[in-house]
Amino acid sequence: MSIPFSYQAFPPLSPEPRLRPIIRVTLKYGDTVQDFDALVDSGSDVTLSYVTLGVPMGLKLNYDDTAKKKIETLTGLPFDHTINGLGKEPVKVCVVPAKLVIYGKEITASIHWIKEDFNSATDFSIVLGQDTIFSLFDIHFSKRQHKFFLNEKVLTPDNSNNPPLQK
Amino acid sequence: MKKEEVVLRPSGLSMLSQDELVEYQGKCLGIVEGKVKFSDADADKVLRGLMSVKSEDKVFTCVPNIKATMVK
Repeated sequence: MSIPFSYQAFPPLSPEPRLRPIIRVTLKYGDTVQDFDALVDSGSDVTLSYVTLGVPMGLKLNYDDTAKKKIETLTGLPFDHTINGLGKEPVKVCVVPAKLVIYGKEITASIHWIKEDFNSATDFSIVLGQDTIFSLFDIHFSKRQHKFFLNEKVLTPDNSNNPPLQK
Repeated sequence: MKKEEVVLRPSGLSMLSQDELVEYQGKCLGIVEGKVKFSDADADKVLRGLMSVKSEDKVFTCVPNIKATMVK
């Protein structure tokens, strides 16, 4: 089944309203459960959020070495880490798992919590990368329809009339 | 066996009217049952307020006011 979602304007106002694939997700951390608007970002390898948002949900800023090792075993990644985006400077993150529910499907995500202040004027509270939503669904983006579609089954478009796959 | 139905909940941003988008630009919002209950530029403050509310339908979102970058 293909589930359609409307693009949202983000930022929504002039001078430059821009359409983005935004979806409501549930973040579970410990006993805390909260819904967030999240960006679906095919260009992001990982799923991101901010320490600013994790702390009210119970995320700790300081873990002892034993706890860090345990978390690293769960995620398979170093606890203290940096990520590189389009900006020149690497961004410091800590990698701590949490659960995400996306259209009824739950996944444990190694969330990269950005250690910078969250800016409500520019930042997305959660960025869903290739490691989460793209693992659960095949996603079809159609900016021309102002929609994107989550496909529960593997999407295999009819390509009988298409040229061979470009590598 | 009957397949469990997934309830599709709209994003917080989609619940806002044009007037509300103007009013709340640059702020984080805590939306409870379709209505804005918390608004502030301080994400921590809004999220803690939202989490203190007992409701099955509450969502955290933000209304940017400048050109947003995809990656910091």
